[in-house]
Amino acid sequence: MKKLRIALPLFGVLLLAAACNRDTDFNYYYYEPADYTLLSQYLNLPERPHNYESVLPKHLSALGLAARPVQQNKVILGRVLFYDKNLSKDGSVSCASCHKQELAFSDNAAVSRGVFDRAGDRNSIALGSVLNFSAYYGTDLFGPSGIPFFWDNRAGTASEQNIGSMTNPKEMDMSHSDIVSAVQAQPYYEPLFRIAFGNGQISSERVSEAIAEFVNAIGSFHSKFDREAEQTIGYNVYNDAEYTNFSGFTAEENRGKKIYLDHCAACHSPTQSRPAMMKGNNGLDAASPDPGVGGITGLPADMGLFKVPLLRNIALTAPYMHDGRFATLEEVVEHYNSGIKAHPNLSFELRSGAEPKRLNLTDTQKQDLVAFLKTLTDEQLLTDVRFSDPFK
Amino acid sequence: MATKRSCFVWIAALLLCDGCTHYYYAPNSLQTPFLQQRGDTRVSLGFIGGDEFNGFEAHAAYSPIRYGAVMVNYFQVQSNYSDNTASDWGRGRLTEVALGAYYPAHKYLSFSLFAGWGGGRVLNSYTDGAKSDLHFERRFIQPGFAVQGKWARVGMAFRFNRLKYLHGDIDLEIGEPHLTTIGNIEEASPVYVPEFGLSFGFGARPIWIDLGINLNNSYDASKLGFAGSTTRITLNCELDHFWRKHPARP
Repeated sequence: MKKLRIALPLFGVLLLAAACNRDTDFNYYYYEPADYTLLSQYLNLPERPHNYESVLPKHLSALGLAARPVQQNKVILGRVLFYDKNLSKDGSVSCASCHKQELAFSDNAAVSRGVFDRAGDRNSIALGSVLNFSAYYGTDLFGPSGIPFFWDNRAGTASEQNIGSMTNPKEMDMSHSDIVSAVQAQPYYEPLFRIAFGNGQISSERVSEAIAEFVNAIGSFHSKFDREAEQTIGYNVYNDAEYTNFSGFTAEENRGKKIYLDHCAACHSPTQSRPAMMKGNNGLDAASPDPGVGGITGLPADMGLFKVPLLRNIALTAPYMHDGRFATLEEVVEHYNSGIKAHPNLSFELRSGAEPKRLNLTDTQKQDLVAFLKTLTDEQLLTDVRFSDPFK
Repeated sequence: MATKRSCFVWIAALLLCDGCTHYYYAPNSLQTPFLQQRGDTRVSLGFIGGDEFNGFEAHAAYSPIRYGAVMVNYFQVQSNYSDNTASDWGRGRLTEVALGAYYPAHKYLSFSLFAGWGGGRVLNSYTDGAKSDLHFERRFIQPGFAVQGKWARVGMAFRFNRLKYLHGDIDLEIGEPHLTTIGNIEEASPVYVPEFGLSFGFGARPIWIDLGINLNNSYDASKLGFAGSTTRITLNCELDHFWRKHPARP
């Protein structure tokens, strides 16, 4: 009995010290196993979703800009929808057909081809920096809708833009009910909608919202320009600092930067954050055959005016202008150097008195400017798996 | 008007829900059974509660030999958020067994030392129904004492826990800050948690009612999503009273 008295507490202590040291094993999952099995038959989605939060480089956050909040679940759904050709009338095109990742989500055709090989009206705009269009991105310079979409600025949001493209007869030619039917027919959407919206109900509004969330998550902040600007204290905060030579730039690129700041930044932004103006006429034609913004507003002052795009990734988005008339950056530079036409609504910045401005750049200066524009390319974006085609 | 009211309700729900606390551990009662001799048998049932959760617990202690005892505890709680939605809730339970020794220093005073082992599970459901499900093992050493008079009694104990989270299934949709908290637990496990318990009881043999408080003194309690304290009210019965010819005093 005495032995037992000793043995009992001793047993308790031994129990504690027992070498039953199993490792902590936490399994983090996003999809239910059955859902993931189903999705994996069609899609290459990681078990643990990518992080779509954007962190702005210091030279942009120093301006008070902040990245748009991301609804991760909707971005994941939106990515699948963006690449899904079932969302077009003949099953031949998706959003990604005209917005190719390797081209910073632009197209290399003057005007893109839609369903049944129908030609579109204008050049595909690069989505490589849509995050910059967002109303959440910095001060509301252009009102609550942020920077509008399409060359004629007719869509206030990314949702309006994508539903506009899906229903455009020259692009995807779908009705709202076609969109719903096409999505309902694919088994992989039920779990994706359930996760994104809390239930599997499918509507064209939800389709549009999810695509918008994906597109709004695409930010481009990893260009050579960004890397250099981030390291230059005060860049974009003090005006003179913009002219500071970047140590990582070549002499050619630094000269090109100065030319850009002197002649281009007034419209296209010195910061590459958001365009300094929403619309303008850049003198492509003396009488524009395309009314542009004027075709939407009906205002004479808007005739021949088009969106002023951001120039991020500009080296990848040829051909240029709303009609894709220029095949190279050199041609674009030459237009601004010597080819501006006297359109009645020609932007003030491109006038010299009553006449179109002539920059009279030398060949070297033109090469310098092109060299600078090439520093705006974000190589990381082009292969970023988060934005890539998820279909097997 | 209806739209405005609906908006208000939604905003209120969001604000309330934002305040919902999800716990991954809460201290059960530190039991200090008043044991004096072989054959002593104690059982208790009680309600226990903490910040935004409550539940019940059961406890039994038996002395099969002089100075030796075995103890079993069961503890189960669930959330009681002011905005208890269908998807936002938490549940936890713990079952454990302990072996120990006691020393009746006086007819009114008994010291005890228990060493125990047990396991439990904490299941939390968050907004939109995403869940985390953590399983843990707890080992502990618990020194304590109990003083029991004719009409009243007091118990006090310290418990030194080694809390090891064995495995868990965590839906990434639970989002922040919950993912960070669970990540902290994963990183910190095993966690050493010191606890303190104090109880006051009144009654007369064989029935007692105890009021007690259990404090978690873990330095990282909030970082790990551990409840800081629980309070309890328990109904206790000295079962041996019913079969002993000459129940022990006092």
